[in-house]
Amino acid sequence: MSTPTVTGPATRTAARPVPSRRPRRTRPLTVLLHAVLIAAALIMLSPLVFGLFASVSPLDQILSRNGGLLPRVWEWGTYVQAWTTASFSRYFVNSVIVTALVVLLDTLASSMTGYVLARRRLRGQRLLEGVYVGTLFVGLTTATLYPQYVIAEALGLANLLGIALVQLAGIMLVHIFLIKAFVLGLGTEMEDAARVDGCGLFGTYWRIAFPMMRPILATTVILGFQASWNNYQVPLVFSLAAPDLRTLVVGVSALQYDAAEGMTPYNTVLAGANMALVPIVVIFIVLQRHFVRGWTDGSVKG
Amino acid sequence: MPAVVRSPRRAQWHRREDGVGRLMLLPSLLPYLAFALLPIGWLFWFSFQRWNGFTAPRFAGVANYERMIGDEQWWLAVLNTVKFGAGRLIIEIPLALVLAYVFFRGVRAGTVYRTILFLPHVLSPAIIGIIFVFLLRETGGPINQLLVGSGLVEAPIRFLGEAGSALASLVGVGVWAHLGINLLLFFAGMMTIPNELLESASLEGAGHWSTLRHIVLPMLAPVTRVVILISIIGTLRSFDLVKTLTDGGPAGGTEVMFTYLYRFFFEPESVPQIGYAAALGVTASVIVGIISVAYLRISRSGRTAR
Repeated sequence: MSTPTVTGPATRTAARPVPSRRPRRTRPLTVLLHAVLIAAALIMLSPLVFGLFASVSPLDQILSRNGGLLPRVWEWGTYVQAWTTASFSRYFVNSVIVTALVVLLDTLASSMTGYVLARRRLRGQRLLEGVYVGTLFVGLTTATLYPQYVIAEALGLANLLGIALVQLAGIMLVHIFLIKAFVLGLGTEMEDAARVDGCGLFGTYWRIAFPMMRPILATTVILGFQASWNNYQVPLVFSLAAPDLRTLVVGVSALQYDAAEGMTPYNTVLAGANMALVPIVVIFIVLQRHFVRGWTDGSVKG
Repeated sequence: MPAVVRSPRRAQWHRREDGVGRLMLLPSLLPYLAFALLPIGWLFWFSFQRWNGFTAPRFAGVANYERMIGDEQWWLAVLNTVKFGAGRLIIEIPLALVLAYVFFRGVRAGTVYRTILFLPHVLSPAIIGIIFVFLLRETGGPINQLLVGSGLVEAPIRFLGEAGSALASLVGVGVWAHLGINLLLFFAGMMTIPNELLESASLEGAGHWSTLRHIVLPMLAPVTRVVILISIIGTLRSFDLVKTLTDGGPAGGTEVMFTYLYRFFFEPESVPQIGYAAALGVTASVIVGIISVAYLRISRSGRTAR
């Protein structure tokens, strides 16, 4: 990028009102820049749009050589087929149950632990934190899925709750440290006042600190929701022997395997894929700011 | 709360509070023990066993590791993993940096663009893989229809049909999915750069390129290190996208570490080889660790040398 030092009228945008950061940019460059950005936006969106089109196109159209990209006729029946014949209604419920369990348990467990780690100095606490950090570094990966499943089975948890607990073990450590850092940044006046009035540790956490953690909990809820809803590996392994435990994401991949063997029409696979995508896209659009904050907090501070 | 006065009642109260504190650690500790610490220990232990998952396991010493050293397919998978990671980083990081800088300096409708670029990051990588299998089809895939229709290529490209192009497709889809998060993190990092620095730079007539090079990049160094480290770890641990987009194919051409070892656990040709899979799992974690630490060392020494 070459940079002309011509002083021109600074381009106004609503996004950031700091005039000094606004570059002196000549018009052709601005046009070029927008052309590049529009192209980038199209590249990001078109795969999803083509996927949507293909999911409602007739099968012979999407399998033919030059079928065209727009649906010849809009056949929404693929969605009905995925929902009923391919048991996506069941998978949808499973996804909702697992995600809800993960978010609920994560919010309670991580906030409690983060609070205690920030406010108490228990014997062995340093060791515990060290072990948690070490685990983050070693990481739970595809390789630990087998033992996780074996242990869940031994505990009688080869079910949706087991899927949620395994996912929880993978995501909560980061959240614990995020919450601990947040609580350390909170003043203790309110909590002290509650203690003087005879509130115990748990009471102080639950009545005073928990409500004050709302901003950081918004972050962990978003991160937890996204991680759980999109998770593939854990429900995949749990449902190998029990297809009833499939979540939407696993259900779609199972359909894809069927399609590869010619047992399921391809447009139905894409209809299923869109069913798994639409909820999170809608929630993302509604809660955009929280997603962005969640990810910047979660990565840079975590 | 420092306990200065030590009356017996106060000590008792402290003991009770500590007990409550310990209880409050349990909701995270129990799932951690059962589904994090124990599985990691289990994996390590079983990497020294021979076990098919059904009959009694037998202690095998380092036999699994010896077998791994001679397993060419495994080392091919390691190489593919590194290629995939390197390919993604080389494209993704500079692109994300430049775009973040564009948004940082301000552009009309910047928020809208940023949102769109970030969108793929909230989607499930497994589903992204499934959608791209369709988009990249040789016959009638939308991308080939566009390329052929616009006259850019003469015959449809076999995106997933050959080892080289399949790995390139994997990199491309990976960049598509992760560009937005890197951009966002760089952008957030840039927003913390003090305004005065940029003002004085522009007063001294620094253009965009020199501002980016001499002010933004040095100030951004800590963020860049984190972003690159996250990307390295993320790509080396890849599973979902690879599994659904290429499933390691064609003929092992895009097999990465974790899709390869997954087969020995869950998709064996005859019986599961848990011990061998565990040894591969331990090795994969060690490889990820070594590369991460090496990167941290190199990036740190690079900074002090300057």
